[in-house]
Amino acid sequence: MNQPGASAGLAPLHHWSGPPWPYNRFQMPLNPYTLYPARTIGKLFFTIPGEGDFVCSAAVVTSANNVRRIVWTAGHCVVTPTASGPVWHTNVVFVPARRDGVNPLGSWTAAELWSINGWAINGSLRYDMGAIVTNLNAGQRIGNVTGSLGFIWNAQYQQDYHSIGYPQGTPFNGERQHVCTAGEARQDLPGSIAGPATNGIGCDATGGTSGGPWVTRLYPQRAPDNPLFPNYAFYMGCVTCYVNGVNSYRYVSQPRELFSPYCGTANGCFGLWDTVRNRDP
Amino acid sequence: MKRALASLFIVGWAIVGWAQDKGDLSASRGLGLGGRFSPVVSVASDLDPALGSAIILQYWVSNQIGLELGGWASIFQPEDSSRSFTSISGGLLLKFFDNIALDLYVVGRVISLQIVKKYELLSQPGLPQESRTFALAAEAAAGIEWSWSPHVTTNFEFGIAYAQILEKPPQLEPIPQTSLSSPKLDVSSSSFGVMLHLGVSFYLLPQIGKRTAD
Repeated sequence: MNQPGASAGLAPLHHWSGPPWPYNRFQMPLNPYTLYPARTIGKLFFTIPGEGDFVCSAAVVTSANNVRRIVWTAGHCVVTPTASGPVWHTNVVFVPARRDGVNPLGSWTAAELWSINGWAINGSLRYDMGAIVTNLNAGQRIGNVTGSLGFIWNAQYQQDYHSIGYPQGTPFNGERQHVCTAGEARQDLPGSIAGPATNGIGCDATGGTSGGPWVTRLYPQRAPDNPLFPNYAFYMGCVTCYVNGVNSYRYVSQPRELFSPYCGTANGCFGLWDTVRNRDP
Repeated sequence: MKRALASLFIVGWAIVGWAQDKGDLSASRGLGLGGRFSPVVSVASDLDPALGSAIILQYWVSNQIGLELGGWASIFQPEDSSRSFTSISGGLLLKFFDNIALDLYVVGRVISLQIVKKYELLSQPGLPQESRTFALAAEAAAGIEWSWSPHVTTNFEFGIAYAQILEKPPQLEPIPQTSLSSPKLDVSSSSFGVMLHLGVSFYLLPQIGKRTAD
Protein backbone atom coordinates (compact mmCIF):
# COMPACT_ATOMS: atom_id res chain seq x y z
CA MET A 1 0.00 0.00 0.00
CA ASN A 2 2.99 2.25 -0.41
CA GLN A 3 1.45 4.59 -2.91
CA PRO A 4 2.86 8.07 -3.29
CA GLY A 5 0.24 10.66 -2.56
CA ALA A 6 -2.09 8.19 -0.90
CA SER A 7 -4.77 9.94 1.06
CA ALA A 8 -4.31 9.53 4.79
CA GLY A 9 -5.32 13.07 5.53
CA LEU A 10 -3.37 14.83 2.82
CA ALA A 11 -5.23 16.99 0.38
CA PRO A 12 -4.20 16.73 -3.26
CA LEU A 13 -1.95 19.42 -4.62
CA HIS A 14 -3.29 21.76 -7.26
CA HIS A 15 -1.75 23.82 -9.94
CA TRP A 16 -1.06 27.27 -8.63
CA SER A 17 -0.32 30.56 -10.27
CA GLY A 18 1.50 32.34 -7.48
CA PRO A 19 2.28 32.44 -3.80
CA PRO A 20 1.20 31.18 -1.38
CA TRP A 21 2.17 27.97 -3.10
CA PRO A 22 0.22 24.79 -2.37
CA TYR A 23 1.51 22.74 0.50
CA ASN A 24 0.42 20.75 3.49
CA ARG A 25 2.05 21.06 6.86
CA PHE A 26 1.53 18.73 9.76
CA GLN A 27 3.34 17.49 12.81
CA MET A 28 5.29 14.29 12.42
CA PRO A 29 2.59 11.79 13.41
CA LEU A 30 4.67 9.81 15.83
CA ASN A 31 5.50 9.72 19.52
CA PRO A 32 8.30 9.23 20.25
CA TYR A 33 10.25 9.95 17.10
CA THR A 34 12.12 6.72 17.31
CA LEU A 35 11.03 5.18 14.03
CA TYR A 36 12.85 5.65 10.76
CA PRO A 37 13.09 8.15 9.21
CA ALA A 38 11.98 10.53 12.00
CA ARG A 39 14.77 9.22 14.21
CA THR A 40 17.40 10.48 11.77
CA ILE A 41 16.17 14.06 12.05
CA GLY A 42 16.91 16.26 15.00
CA LYS A 43 17.57 19.62 16.50
CA LEU A 44 20.91 21.38 16.24
CA PHE A 45 22.14 23.69 19.00
CA PHE A 46 25.08 26.01 18.46
CA THR A 47 26.66 29.33 19.30
CA ILE A 48 27.68 32.02 16.83
CA PRO A 49 30.67 33.76 18.42
CA GLY A 50 29.67 37.30 19.23
CA GLU A 51 26.03 36.68 18.39
CA GLY A 52 24.63 34.21 20.88
CA ASP A 53 22.95 30.83 20.93
CA PHE A 54 20.93 29.57 17.99
CA VAL A 55 19.03 26.48 16.93
CA CYS A 56 18.65 24.79 13.59
CA SER A 57 17.55 21.39 12.34
CA ALA A 58 19.62 18.67 10.72
CA ALA A 59 19.60 15.03 9.66
CA VAL A 60 21.91 12.05 9.65
CA VAL A 61 22.88 11.10 6.11
CA THR A 62 24.49 8.05 4.69
CA SER A 63 28.27 7.73 4.66
CA ALA A 64 30.95 5.15 4.23
CA ASN A 65 30.02 1.94 5.99
CA ASN A 66 32.59 2.26 8.71
CA VAL A 67 32.02 5.99 9.31
CA ARG A 68 28.36 6.72 10.04
CA ARG A 69 29.08 10.03 11.71
CA ILE A 70 27.71 12.56 9.25
CA VAL A 71 24.96 15.10 9.91
CA TRP A 72 23.72 17.27 7.05
CA THR A 73 22.39 20.80 7.57
CA ALA A 74 22.43 24.33 6.19
CA GLY A 75 25.73 26.13 5.80
CA HIS A 76 24.59 29.04 7.94
CA CYS A 77 24.05 26.60 10.81
CA VAL A 78 27.75 25.75 10.96
CA VAL A 79 29.60 28.82 9.70
CA THR A 80 29.06 32.55 9.29
CA PRO A 81 30.94 34.19 6.42
CA THR A 82 32.65 37.50 7.14
CA ALA A 83 35.23 39.69 5.45
CA SER A 84 37.85 38.42 7.83
CA GLY A 85 37.03 34.86 6.90
CA PRO A 86 34.58 32.19 7.95
CA VAL A 87 33.52 32.27 11.58
CA TRP A 88 32.86 28.69 12.54
CA HIS A 89 30.18 28.09 15.11
CA THR A 90 30.90 26.62 18.49
CA ASN A 91 29.14 24.40 21.01
CA VAL A 92 27.51 22.47 18.19
CA VAL A 93 25.32 19.66 19.48
CA PHE A 94 22.95 17.50 17.47
CA VAL A 95 19.99 15.83 19.18
CA PRO A 96 18.20 13.35 16.92
CA ALA A 97 14.54 12.51 17.47
CA ARG A 98 14.11 15.19 20.12
CA ARG A 99 10.48 15.67 21.09
CA ASP A 100 9.05 17.91 23.80
CA GLY A 101 12.41 18.29 25.46
CA VAL A 102 13.06 14.56 25.59
CA ASN A 103 16.15 13.22 23.86
CA PRO A 104 15.39 9.53 23.44
CA LEU A 105 18.52 8.65 21.52
CA GLY A 106 21.04 10.93 23.18
CA SER A 107 23.06 13.80 21.74
CA TRP A 108 26.21 14.09 19.66
CA THR A 109 28.75 16.91 19.68
CA ALA A 110 30.65 18.05 16.62
CA ALA A 111 34.16 16.91 15.83
CA GLU A 112 34.40 18.78 12.52
CA LEU A 113 32.31 21.38 10.75
CA TRP A 114 32.24 21.62 6.96
CA SER A 115 30.68 23.87 4.38
CA ILE A 116 31.25 25.06 0.83
CA ASN A 117 33.42 28.07 -0.01
CA GLY A 118 30.53 29.64 -1.91
CA TRP A 119 28.78 29.99 1.42
CA ALA A 120 31.62 30.09 3.96
CA ILE A 121 33.58 32.74 2.06
CA ASN A 122 31.14 34.44 -0.28
CA GLY A 123 27.89 34.02 1.63
CA SER A 124 25.93 32.95 -1.43
CA LEU A 125 22.67 31.25 -0.60
CA ARG A 126 23.15 29.03 -3.62
CA TYR A 127 25.80 27.24 -1.56
CA ASP A 128 24.14 27.27 1.85
CA MET A 129 24.98 23.71 2.84
CA GLY A 130 26.96 22.31 5.72
CA ALA A 131 27.96 19.05 7.28
CA ILE A 132 28.98 17.94 10.73
CA VAL A 133 31.26 15.06 11.54
CA THR A 134 30.09 14.05 14.98
CA ASN A 135 32.02 12.70 17.89
CA LEU A 136 31.07 9.33 19.25
CA ASN A 137 28.54 9.34 22.07
CA ALA A 138 29.45 6.74 24.67
CA GLY A 139 31.31 4.92 21.95
CA GLN A 140 28.32 4.96 19.62
CA ARG A 141 28.44 6.26 16.08
CA ILE A 142 25.34 8.27 15.44
CA GLY A 143 24.49 6.40 12.25
CA ASN A 144 24.51 3.12 14.10
CA VAL A 145 21.89 4.48 16.47
CA THR A 146 19.62 6.47 14.17
CA GLY A 147 20.15 4.96 10.77
CA SER A 148 20.57 7.48 8.00
CA LEU A 149 18.85 9.14 5.11
CA GLY A 150 20.08 8.47 1.62
CA PHE A 151 21.70 11.23 -0.38
CA ILE A 152 21.05 12.19 -3.99
CA TRP A 153 22.44 14.94 -6.18
CA ASN A 154 21.89 16.36 -9.66
CA ALA A 155 18.25 15.43 -9.32
CA GLN A 156 15.39 17.17 -11.10
CA TYR A 157 14.10 20.33 -9.50
CA GLN A 158 10.53 19.17 -9.67
CA GLN A 159 9.91 16.54 -7.06
CA ASP A 160 7.51 15.84 -4.26
CA TYR A 161 9.41 17.22 -1.33
CA HIS A 162 8.94 16.77 2.39
CA SER A 163 10.62 19.56 4.25
CA ILE A 164 11.14 18.47 7.85
CA GLY A 165 12.41 20.55 10.71
CA TYR A 166 11.86 21.99 14.14
CA PRO A 167 10.35 25.45 13.62
CA GLN A 168 10.68 27.51 16.76
CA GLY A 169 9.64 30.99 15.76
CA THR A 170 6.05 32.00 16.47
CA PRO A 171 3.65 30.16 16.43
CA PHE A 172 5.82 27.08 16.94
CA ASN A 173 7.82 26.09 19.99
CA GLY A 174 10.66 24.14 18.45
CA GLU A 175 9.83 20.92 20.23
CA ARG A 176 8.12 19.00 17.43
CA GLN A 177 9.04 17.93 13.95
CA HIS A 178 6.87 19.56 11.32
CA VAL A 179 6.57 18.27 7.79
CA CYS A 180 5.71 20.40 4.78
CA THR A 181 4.75 18.38 1.72
CA ALA A 182 4.93 20.23 -1.55
CA GLY A 183 6.16 20.10 -5.08
CA GLU A 184 8.73 22.53 -6.36
CA ALA A 185 7.05 25.89 -6.78
CA ARG A 186 9.68 28.08 -8.32
CA GLN A 187 13.37 28.63 -8.67
CA ASP A 188 15.21 31.63 -7.32
CA LEU A 189 18.54 33.22 -8.18
CA PRO A 190 19.71 34.97 -5.02
CA GLY A 191 22.75 37.14 -5.47
CA SER A 192 24.96 37.50 -8.48
CA ILE A 193 27.52 34.85 -7.65
CA ALA A 194 27.26 32.10 -10.22
CA GLY A 195 25.68 28.86 -9.14
CA PRO A 196 22.57 26.81 -9.68
CA ALA A 197 19.20 28.32 -8.87
CA THR A 198 17.77 27.61 -5.47
CA ASN A 199 14.55 25.69 -5.17
CA GLY A 200 11.41 27.01 -3.50
CA ILE A 201 8.39 25.26 -2.07
CA GLY A 202 5.35 26.35 -0.17
CA CYS A 203 5.81 26.04 3.58
CA ASP A 204 5.09 28.28 6.55
CA ALA A 205 7.67 26.83 8.92
CA THR A 206 9.58 29.49 10.86
CA GLY A 207 13.03 30.07 12.28
CA GLY A 208 14.65 26.95 13.66
CA THR A 209 13.69 24.83 10.70
CA SER A 210 16.89 25.81 8.91
CA GLY A 211 19.03 22.87 7.97
CA GLY A 212 16.15 20.45 8.14
CA PRO A 213 16.20 18.00 5.27
CA TRP A 214 14.14 18.06 2.12
CA VAL A 215 13.28 14.40 1.87
CA THR A 216 12.10 12.65 -1.26
CA ARG A 217 10.52 9.26 -1.71
CA LEU A 218 8.73 9.69 1.57
CA TYR A 219 5.04 9.10 1.54
CA PRO A 220 2.15 8.46 3.85
CA GLN A 221 1.68 4.92 4.98
CA ARG A 222 -1.56 3.83 6.41
CA ALA A 223 -0.96 2.57 9.88
CA PRO A 224 -3.03 -0.62 9.47
CA ASP A 225 -0.70 -1.58 6.67
CA ASN A 226 2.31 -1.39 8.90
CA PRO A 227 2.37 -3.27 12.19
CA LEU A 228 5.17 -1.10 13.52
CA PHE A 229 2.91 1.79 14.42
CA PRO A 230 -0.71 0.69 14.76
CA ASN A 231 -1.69 3.59 16.98
CA TYR A 232 -1.43 6.19 14.27
CA ALA A 233 -3.73 6.95 11.41
CA PHE A 234 -0.78 7.31 9.12
CA TYR A 235 2.94 7.71 9.22
CA MET A 236 5.57 9.01 6.87
CA GLY A 237 7.41 5.96 5.69
CA CYS A 238 9.88 4.78 3.14
CA VAL A 239 12.38 2.05 2.59
CA THR A 240 15.17 4.54 2.14
CA CYS A 241 14.43 8.23 2.19
CA TYR A 242 16.75 10.56 0.33
CA VAL A 243 17.91 14.04 1.24
CA ASN A 244 17.76 16.45 -1.67
CA GLY A 245 17.96 19.86 -0.06
CA VAL A 246 17.88 21.72 3.24
CA ASN A 247 15.73 24.49 4.60
CA SER A 248 17.71 27.65 4.03
CA TYR A 249 15.94 31.00 3.69
CA ARG A 250 12.70 32.76 2.94
CA TYR A 251 11.77 36.24 1.83
CA VAL A 252 10.45 38.45 4.57
CA SER A 253 7.30 39.39 2.70
CA GLN A 254 6.43 35.81 1.76
CA PRO A 255 6.37 33.69 4.92
CA ARG A 256 4.70 30.79 3.15
CA GLU A 257 7.57 29.93 0.90
CA LEU A 258 11.01 28.63 1.75
CA PHE A 259 14.04 27.84 -0.30
CA SER A 260 16.80 25.29 -0.46
CA PRO A 261 20.07 25.36 -2.33
CA TYR A 262 20.18 22.90 -5.18
CA CYS A 263 22.35 19.86 -4.57
CA GLY A 264 24.55 19.21 -7.56
CA THR A 265 28.08 18.58 -8.58
CA ALA A 266 28.40 22.10 -10.00
CA ASN A 267 27.99 23.91 -6.70
CA GLY A 268 30.03 21.56 -4.56
CA CYS A 269 27.13 19.86 -2.82
CA PHE A 270 28.15 16.42 -3.97
CA GLY A 271 31.79 17.23 -3.35
CA LEU A 272 31.04 18.20 0.23
CA TRP A 273 29.17 15.01 0.93
CA ASP A 274 31.73 12.91 -0.92
CA THR A 275 34.43 14.39 1.31
CA VAL A 276 32.74 14.14 4.67
CA ARG A 277 31.28 10.70 4.13
CA ASN A 278 34.78 9.31 4.54
CA ARG A 279 35.76 11.48 7.48
CA ASP A 280 36.43 9.42 10.57
CA PRO A 281 38.71 11.47 12.82
CA MET B 1 4.77 47.58 -12.55
CA LYS B 2 3.79 45.53 -15.59
CA ARG B 3 0.15 46.32 -14.96
CA ALA B 4 0.88 50.01 -14.70
CA LEU B 5 2.79 50.11 -17.94
CA ALA B 6 0.23 47.92 -19.67
CA SER B 7 -2.41 50.42 -18.63
CA LEU B 8 -0.30 53.15 -20.08
CA PHE B 9 -0.20 51.31 -23.38
CA ILE B 10 -3.93 50.80 -23.39
CA VAL B 11 -4.50 54.47 -22.78
CA GLY B 12 -2.08 55.25 -25.54
CA TRP B 13 -3.77 53.08 -28.09
CA ALA B 14 -7.18 54.28 -27.01
CA ILE B 15 -6.44 57.85 -27.87
CA VAL B 16 -4.85 57.05 -31.17
CA GLY B 17 -8.12 57.69 -32.92
CA TRP B 18 -8.40 61.05 -31.31
CA ALA B 19 -4.84 61.80 -32.12
CA GLN B 20 -5.19 60.80 -35.74
CA ASP B 21 -7.89 63.40 -36.11
CA LYS B 22 -5.27 65.95 -35.38
CA GLY B 23 -3.31 64.47 -38.21
CA ASP B 24 -0.49 66.95 -38.50
CA LEU B 25 2.65 64.98 -37.96
CA SER B 26 4.76 67.87 -38.93
CA ALA B 27 4.22 69.82 -35.79
CA SER B 28 7.39 70.02 -33.78
CA ARG B 29 7.67 68.12 -30.58
CA GLY B 30 8.67 69.55 -27.32
CA LEU B 31 8.30 67.82 -24.02
CA GLY B 32 6.92 64.30 -23.89
CA LEU B 33 5.93 61.87 -21.20
CA GLY B 34 5.87 58.14 -21.75
CA GLY B 35 6.66 54.67 -20.63
CA ARG B 36 9.12 52.02 -21.64
CA PHE B 37 8.50 48.35 -20.99
CA SER B 38 10.87 45.52 -21.70
CA PRO B 39 9.34 42.13 -22.34
CA VAL B 40 12.77 40.67 -23.03
CA VAL B 41 15.88 41.48 -21.05
CA SER B 42 18.75 39.05 -20.77
CA VAL B 43 21.47 41.10 -19.18
CA ALA B 44 21.51 39.61 -15.71
CA SER B 45 18.77 37.58 -14.11
CA ASP B 46 18.94 39.54 -10.91
CA LEU B 47 18.43 42.82 -12.74
CA ASP B 48 15.69 41.81 -15.13
CA PRO B 49 13.25 43.28 -15.87
CA ALA B 50 13.92 46.27 -13.64
CA LEU B 51 16.72 47.29 -15.96
CA GLY B 52 14.48 47.90 -18.92
CA SER B 53 11.31 49.49 -17.62
CA ALA B 54 10.79 53.13 -16.81
CA ILE B 55 8.58 56.14 -16.93
CA ILE B 56 10.34 58.55 -19.25
CA LEU B 57 10.47 62.24 -19.90
CA GLN B 58 11.64 63.23 -23.35
CA TYR B 59 12.69 66.58 -24.64
CA TRP B 60 13.47 67.13 -28.29
CA VAL B 61 16.19 69.69 -28.72
CA SER B 62 15.60 69.65 -32.43
CA ASN B 63 13.53 67.57 -34.80
CA GLN B 64 16.13 64.83 -34.79
CA ILE B 65 17.88 65.07 -31.46
CA GLY B 66 16.15 64.21 -28.23
CA LEU B 67 17.08 63.84 -24.61
CA GLU B 68 15.51 61.31 -22.31
CA LEU B 69 15.29 61.04 -18.56
CA GLY B 70 13.70 57.98 -17.03
CA GLY B 71 13.20 56.14 -13.81
CA TRP B 72 11.12 53.76 -11.82
CA ALA B 73 10.74 52.76 -8.22
CA SER B 74 8.93 49.91 -6.59
CA ILE B 75 8.26 49.20 -2.98
CA PHE B 76 7.96 45.97 -1.08
CA GLN B 77 4.63 44.30 -1.66
CA PRO B 78 3.37 41.49 0.54
CA GLU B 79 2.54 39.41 -2.48
CA ASP B 80 5.73 40.28 -4.21
CA SER B 81 9.13 38.68 -3.85
CA SER B 82 10.56 40.98 -1.19
CA ARG B 83 12.44 42.86 -3.84
CA SER B 84 12.37 46.57 -4.38
CA PHE B 85 14.31 48.57 -6.85
CA THR B 86 14.90 52.11 -7.98
CA SER B 87 16.28 53.04 -11.33
CA ILE B 88 17.22 56.22 -13.10
CA SER B 89 18.33 56.53 -16.67
CA GLY B 90 19.47 59.16 -19.11
CA GLY B 91 19.64 58.87 -22.85
CA LEU B 92 20.32 60.59 -26.13
CA LEU B 93 18.10 59.88 -29.15
CA LEU B 94 19.05 60.53 -32.75
CA LYS B 95 16.40 60.19 -35.43
CA PHE B 96 17.43 59.23 -38.94
CA PHE B 97 14.70 61.13 -40.67
CA ASP B 98 12.69 64.16 -40.02
CA ASN B 99 9.02 64.29 -39.75
CA ILE B 100 7.72 61.05 -41.16
CA ALA B 101 5.19 58.72 -39.59
CA LEU B 102 7.50 55.74 -39.45
CA ASP B 103 10.90 56.80 -38.33
CA LEU B 104 14.13 55.11 -37.39
CA TYR B 105 16.38 56.19 -34.60
CA VAL B 106 19.24 55.13 -32.40
CA VAL B 107 19.50 55.72 -28.72
CA GLY B 108 22.22 55.49 -26.13
CA ARG B 109 21.33 55.18 -22.48
CA VAL B 110 23.01 54.98 -19.14
CA ILE B 111 20.96 53.25 -16.47
CA SER B 112 21.62 53.21 -12.76
CA LEU B 113 19.80 50.59 -10.76
CA GLN B 114 19.61 49.60 -7.13
CA ILE B 115 17.87 46.43 -5.97
CA VAL B 116 17.18 45.60 -2.34
CA LYS B 117 16.15 42.15 -1.20
CA LYS B 118 14.98 41.32 2.28
CA TYR B 119 15.07 37.75 3.43
CA GLU B 120 15.65 35.70 6.52
CA LEU B 121 17.85 32.75 7.30
CA LEU B 122 15.66 30.25 9.05
CA SER B 123 17.70 29.58 12.15
CA GLN B 124 16.22 30.65 15.46
CA PRO B 125 16.43 33.40 16.44
CA GLY B 126 16.06 34.46 12.86
CA LEU B 127 18.79 36.20 10.95
CA PRO B 128 17.19 38.96 8.89
CA GLN B 129 19.24 39.78 5.88
CA GLU B 130 19.19 42.55 3.36
CA SER B 131 21.23 42.41 0.23
CA ARG B 132 21.79 45.33 -2.09
CA THR B 133 22.73 45.15 -5.71
CA PHE B 134 23.94 48.18 -7.61
CA ALA B 135 24.22 48.18 -11.35
CA LEU B 136 25.42 50.70 -13.86
CA ALA B 137 24.46 49.77 -17.38
CA ALA B 138 25.13 51.26 -20.78
CA GLU B 139 22.75 50.47 -23.59
CA ALA B 140 22.85 51.10 -27.31
CA ALA B 141 19.66 50.44 -29.21
CA ALA B 142 18.08 50.92 -32.58
CA GLY B 143 14.40 51.68 -32.74
CA ILE B 144 11.40 52.16 -34.93
CA GLU B 145 8.97 54.90 -34.00
CA TRP B 146 5.49 55.22 -35.29
CA SER B 147 3.99 58.66 -34.97
CA TRP B 148 0.26 58.45 -34.78
CA SER B 149 -0.03 62.16 -34.41
CA PRO B 150 2.05 65.03 -33.10
CA HIS B 151 0.82 63.96 -29.72
CA VAL B 152 1.35 60.21 -29.66
CA THR B 153 4.14 57.89 -30.68
CA THR B 154 4.80 54.24 -30.08
CA ASN B 155 8.13 52.59 -30.56
CA PHE B 156 10.00 49.33 -30.60
CA GLU B 157 13.67 49.06 -29.75
CA PHE B 158 16.28 46.35 -29.92
CA GLY B 159 19.42 46.99 -28.00
CA ILE B 160 22.50 45.55 -26.45
CA ALA B 161 23.52 46.40 -22.93
CA TYR B 162 26.54 46.04 -20.73
CA ALA B 163 26.11 46.17 -16.99
CA GLN B 164 28.63 46.47 -14.20
CA ILE B 165 27.14 44.96 -11.08
CA LEU B 166 28.15 45.37 -7.48
CA GLU B 167 26.51 43.17 -4.91
CA LYS B 168 26.75 44.02 -1.26
CA PRO B 169 25.90 40.84 0.63
CA PRO B 170 23.86 41.09 3.80
CA GLN B 171 25.28 41.58 7.22
CA LEU B 172 24.02 39.98 10.35
CA GLU B 173 21.59 41.93 12.44
CA PRO B 174 21.98 43.13 15.08
CA ILE B 175 25.43 44.49 14.40
CA PRO B 176 27.89 41.76 15.28
CA GLN B 177 30.66 42.20 17.75
CA THR B 178 34.33 42.51 16.96
CA SER B 179 34.93 39.22 15.29
CA LEU B 180 32.12 39.78 12.85
CA SER B 181 32.22 43.53 12.55
CA SER B 182 33.89 43.88 9.18
CA PRO B 183 31.59 44.04 6.21
CA LYS B 184 31.70 41.13 3.87
CA LEU B 185 33.56 41.37 0.64
CA ASP B 186 31.50 43.03 -2.01
CA VAL B 187 31.09 41.01 -5.15
CA SER B 188 31.63 42.71 -8.45
CA SER B 189 30.66 41.26 -11.78
CA SER B 190 29.76 42.32 -15.26
CA SER B 191 27.17 41.14 -17.69
CA PHE B 192 26.24 41.59 -21.31
CA GLY B 193 22.90 40.97 -22.95
CA VAL B 194 20.11 42.08 -25.20
CA MET B 195 17.03 44.14 -24.45
CA LEU B 196 13.78 44.65 -26.29
CA HIS B 197 11.72 47.71 -25.46
CA LEU B 198 8.18 48.71 -26.22
CA GLY B 199 7.36 52.31 -25.59
CA VAL B 200 4.71 54.93 -25.87
CA SER B 201 5.06 58.67 -25.52
CA PHE B 202 2.58 61.50 -25.27
CA TYR B 203 3.64 64.94 -26.37
CA LEU B 204 1.46 67.24 -24.42
CA LEU B 205 3.26 70.47 -25.11
CA PRO B 206 4.18 70.67 -28.79
CA GLN B 207 6.64 73.41 -29.37
CA ILE B 208 5.21 76.27 -31.30
CA GLY B 209 7.18 78.03 -33.88
CA LYS B 210 10.18 75.81 -33.81
CA ARG B 211 9.31 74.54 -37.20
CA THR B 212 6.47 75.59 -39.38
CA ALA B 213 3.93 73.14 -40.63
CA ASP B 214 3.94 72.24 -44.27
